[in-house]
Amino acid sequence: MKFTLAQISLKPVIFMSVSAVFLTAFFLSTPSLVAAQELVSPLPEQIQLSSRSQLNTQYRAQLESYRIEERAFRLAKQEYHQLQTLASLEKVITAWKAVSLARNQVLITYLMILDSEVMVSYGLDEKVREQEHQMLTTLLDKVKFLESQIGLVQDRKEQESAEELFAIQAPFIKRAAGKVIAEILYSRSRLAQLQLAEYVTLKSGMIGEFEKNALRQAEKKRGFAEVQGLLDSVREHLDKVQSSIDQVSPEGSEGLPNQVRQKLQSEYGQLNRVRTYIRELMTE
Amino acid sequence: MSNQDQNFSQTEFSQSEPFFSEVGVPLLPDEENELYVLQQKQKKQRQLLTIFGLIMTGLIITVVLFAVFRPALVIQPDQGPGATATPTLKISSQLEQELEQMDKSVKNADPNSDEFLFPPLEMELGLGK
Repeated sequence: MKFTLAQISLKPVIFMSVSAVFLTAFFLSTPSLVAAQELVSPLPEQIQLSSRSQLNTQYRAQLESYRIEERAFRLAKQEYHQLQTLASLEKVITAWKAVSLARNQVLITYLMILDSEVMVSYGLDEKVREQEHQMLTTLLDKVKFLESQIGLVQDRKEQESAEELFAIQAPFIKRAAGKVIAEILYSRSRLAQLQLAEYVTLKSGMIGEFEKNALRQAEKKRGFAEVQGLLDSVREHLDKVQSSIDQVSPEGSEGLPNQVRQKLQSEYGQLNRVRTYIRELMTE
Repeated sequence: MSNQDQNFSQTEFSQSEPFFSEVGVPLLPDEENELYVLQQKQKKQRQLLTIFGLIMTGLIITVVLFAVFRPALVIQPDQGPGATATPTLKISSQLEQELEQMDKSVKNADPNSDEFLFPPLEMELGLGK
């Protein structure tokens, strides 16, 4: 009898308490769930940035390690030339293997950095992006093959043939990387030009929303038209730069990045002028 | 009144006095008394539980109301003091963001950046003659 009475009075209370706890938990946890979702599924750009930053860190560490190995190799080489003994030969070959592996590691990471940049070079045509990605994949395979050859070296003869193989491949890697760098530099300028042009088109179409004075509206309209003209001229020049890069063979050119840098110099100045002009139009 | 009626025993009277003095106290058997105490206890318990239930219900209603009307708690541009400052700030911050994005994009296009320079590696690591 006692038990039944207590049970009857507790039922609604337990129900309400549980409901209250669940409701409170639900409403309080909703923003946390959203935040958690954001953490779990970051944007592709965030992933790219994070992986790029990891690659940069890795690159710096590998370059430092390479420098240490190179110093050790030079000392071992000097010792070998002085002593000309089998022990010193063994030592120098071991040092060569270490420095060669370190060199290849630096190259692999460098090519991976270029590849990650190519994949987000939205100023390039998708076809060009894919071509450059394929080229970098081929280069990475070559470097990895060279790396596997280093591991097999046992004596001086094998060391010489492995080094010769690298010497044949190295200029090809440099030339191909040169073309990729030129494409990346072009893409960045093109992207900036595209973004500024898009912004100018957008804002010139809504001058009335941020400028009420009719006289100033007309002034701003003229200003935006002028900016648009400058951006058109930048685009024309960039098209010429793109053609000059396209003319270079797929094997690339070592000096191409510097040539493209010089060509893009004036366009960079123009883009900066346009940027300042837009800022003035929007804030004054 | 007869003499027989007046002739009662004083001893009997003194003994029966305590019995009459307890006339007002209900004489309940032990079992019934316990039930009464238990009922009182349960009544108290029910009162406490009702209060607790009311508090809980209040809490649920508060949470629901807060969840439903939360967006309405944000000050509208035409409400309260400094109402004009809020949208202006919002617009200027948006504009500032747009302009910063533009600056970033142009800065990124700097062709003099040494970001992708070929690594300074020795391409010939021969043992020499």
